[in-house]
Amino acid sequence: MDEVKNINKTNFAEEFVDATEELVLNMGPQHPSTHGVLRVILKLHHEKVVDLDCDIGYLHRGVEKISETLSYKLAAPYMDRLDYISAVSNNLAYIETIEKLAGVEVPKKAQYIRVILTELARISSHLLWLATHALDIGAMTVFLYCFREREEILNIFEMVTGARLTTNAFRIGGLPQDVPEGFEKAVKDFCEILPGRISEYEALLTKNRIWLARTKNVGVISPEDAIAIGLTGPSLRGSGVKWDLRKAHPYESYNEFEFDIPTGENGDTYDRYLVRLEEMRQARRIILQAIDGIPEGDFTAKVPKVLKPPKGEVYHSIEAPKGELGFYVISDGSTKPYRVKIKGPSFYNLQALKKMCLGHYVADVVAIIGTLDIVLGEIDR
Amino acid sequence: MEFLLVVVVKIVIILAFISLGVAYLTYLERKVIGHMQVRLGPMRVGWHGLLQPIADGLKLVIKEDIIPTQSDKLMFILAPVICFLHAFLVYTFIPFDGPKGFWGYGGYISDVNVGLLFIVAIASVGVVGIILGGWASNSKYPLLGSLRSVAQLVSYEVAMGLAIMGPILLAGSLSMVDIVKAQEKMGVWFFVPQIVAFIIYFICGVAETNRAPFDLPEAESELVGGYHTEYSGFRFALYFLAEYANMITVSAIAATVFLGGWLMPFPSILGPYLSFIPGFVWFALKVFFFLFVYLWIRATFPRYRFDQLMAIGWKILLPLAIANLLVTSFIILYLKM
Amino acid sequence: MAEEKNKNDSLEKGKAPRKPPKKEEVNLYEEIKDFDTFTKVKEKFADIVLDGKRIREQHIFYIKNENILDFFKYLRDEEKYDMLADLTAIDYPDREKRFAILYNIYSFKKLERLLVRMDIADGEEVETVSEIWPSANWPEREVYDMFGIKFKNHPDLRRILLPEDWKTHPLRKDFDVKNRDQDWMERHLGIREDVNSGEVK
Repeated sequence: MDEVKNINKTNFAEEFVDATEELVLNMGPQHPSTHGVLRVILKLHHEKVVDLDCDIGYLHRGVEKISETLSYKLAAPYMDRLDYISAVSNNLAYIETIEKLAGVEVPKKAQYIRVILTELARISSHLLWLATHALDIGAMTVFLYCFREREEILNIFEMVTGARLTTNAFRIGGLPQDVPEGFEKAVKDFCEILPGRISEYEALLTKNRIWLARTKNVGVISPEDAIAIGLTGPSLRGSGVKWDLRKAHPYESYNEFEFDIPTGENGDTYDRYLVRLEEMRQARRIILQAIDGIPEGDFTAKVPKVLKPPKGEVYHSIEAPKGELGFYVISDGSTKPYRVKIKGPSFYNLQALKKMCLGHYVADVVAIIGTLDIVLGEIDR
Repeated sequence: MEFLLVVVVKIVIILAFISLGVAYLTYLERKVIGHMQVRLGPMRVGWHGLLQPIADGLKLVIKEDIIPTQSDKLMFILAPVICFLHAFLVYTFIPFDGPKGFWGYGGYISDVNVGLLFIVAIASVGVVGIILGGWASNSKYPLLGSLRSVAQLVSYEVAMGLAIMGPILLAGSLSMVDIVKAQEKMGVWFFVPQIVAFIIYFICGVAETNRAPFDLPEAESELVGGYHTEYSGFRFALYFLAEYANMITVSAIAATVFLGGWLMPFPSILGPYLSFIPGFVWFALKVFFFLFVYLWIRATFPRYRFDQLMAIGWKILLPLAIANLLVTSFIILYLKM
Repeated sequence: MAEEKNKNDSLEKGKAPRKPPKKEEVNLYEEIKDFDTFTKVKEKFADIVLDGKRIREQHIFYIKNENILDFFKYLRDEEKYDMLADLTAIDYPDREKRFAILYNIYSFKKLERLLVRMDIADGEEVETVSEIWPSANWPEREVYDMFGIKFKNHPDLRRILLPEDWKTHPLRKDFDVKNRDQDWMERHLGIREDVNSGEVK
């Protein structure tokens, strides 16, 4: 009898609401769209994200510690393995930092070729970003189209450096060797086909209703928040902050080239998509200017075999495809750096994930991870 | 006795045909999408990879059978079978050819007066297999996937059911054969007067079969594999075959109800020249057309988000289907008066 | 195995006392001249700001670990250093104040970067700046993880790159491959290394 009474008393609807729990979903480290070994612990209410925590470090190799035990020159190849998607940019950032510390002047010719290669790396990185981002949202054809063009860039890298992915393209003081014959033609051929190919991707995505529905107003971040959380690169520019290290603090010969900094307005996933597409076009513009203006001269400066920079510390950063990539190197006057600190853009960009994801659906988390363009090699170091 | 023999032979033929069709639909998908994506697709096994489906099937059969320890074992084993069974059961009522087809034996296993209703009913039992599979895996991704698929299938079934009411009203019958005959009599296939219903039906059909851009229950970039994440080997193959069989079903219903089934296009013009082609060839061509559109869509579109998918189902397709049904019935009433 | 051994050897070599450089030392550090922020800060926070240097066109401020929140708030609000670009630590085992924390802040208004360096002793706690710059959240966790420096009032001070039950702090100079957390490895990976030969048991 008592039980019957109890049943009558209980408000089933209320009990039901109380009984629903948050579902903890463990996304990664083995998941198709966390771009590596990122682990995101999601707290879901139905399919909406109420809380999330990133667990990183699955790819921690201790690059900073390793570089303390190697000479300045030997540590350079390790830096390629940070952001392995644009190894050239990583290499450049490290090499430039050491050059700045040691006061090495790089000849103009080497500078121009460095610019060409890093801009190619930017295009290739953005292509890979677009490919995986689109695949995450379900557009699988763009994925293969992008890889087709990336292949061309990797061929050029192979031609110049002998390697396709971790190229170790530069040396302290300049380049390891002069560019081979046919380099100019290969680069120009690539620049020829690129605009048409970018419009192919745009035809598939830019005005696609589903793409708009999936990216507009998803992962919105205001410029103030973006700066506070430390976003850099296209993710910051998507929020409308017109800041690019190539313009703000020109390194190499970037002050000699004409290019625009594309910015977004709403700071959503769609704007970041447009910004990156435009950045590819601008990178092509820089490459075309540089390839026509390669000056005559040496490809490397004279650098002592055993490099011993004077005591001191230097922070230098470049505009890598993913944002501000900086190296902080302390020299104690010996052949090995005392401390190397890598400021990877992805590490800071990933911090924004929580802010951007709360209140969105699980499917949006995937889109937002994609739009932040993270590489775990650089986050975990 | 002869009747029984005929039925058994027909069942064997149709089952073999459909199984082979399903296997080669995977090949077709890989080839078509491959060429759309500037690559070749399977090329290694056999001439232009023609034996690839068989190699895949063999691989899946001889793979280790894994049943997760934490799963509900009975349900885990049962679920893909339910899915598979109902996907193939539907073919009982689909007319591949007219009553005079198949050398006079009738181009279908059975023609009942509630055929279409029966097909829709049976096809929706398949979703039980998906729910059970996701639930029995006792894992979070399959659970989310199966929950999504329940919500999706239930909401799209309503719009789909209402959409095929239009042609049924025109034909005045639920029998698949009668629907085709009505189209023959009317002289125009139902997709012309029922263009709205046709479009709604096809969109719902894509959603019903969990295909892109509505492939949320198995969205691999979000839910890893959706309801079949924990399945492997032959059990996975059953789900896989069921999905492709469902694609053929949806295409076959569309071909029958809207595109005149086994009928020849423009019989007054082409009739004298092409009458030697049997009806099932026309039927197969129509089904192939729908399947090709399926694959084309998959290669072109990104994936919808779950809430957007539901919004399309309930806010756009369902009202449209109801409106179409009302308009059709009023026109029929007016014509009869 | 052989590789592991080589690695150990090279590490040992790395620890060997370095020869003093023969050449005349080049001093890269210059005094700060005509830097507005420095004069202002020097006046306003005379007790915190110890010194300022300029190296390769880059300003570095040296501060004491006192009331740093006021100091950083001033830098953010009045001097418009609105982004914390990086935060890290350096280990000097021989010094009295063992660690140095380096704040790398950037002003979008002035397009100007500023390094702020602060020496702290082992075990000394530092006020977190994640209230001022939210981007400091993860880097501070990283510094805690790698150096064992604790941050006061940090919202979520856990290890970030290494496993949570790991013991050592690998970026300290006295850390070596040989004294990595063997217990952890035995617990989770089921292996134990012989520290001298590098052999896995």
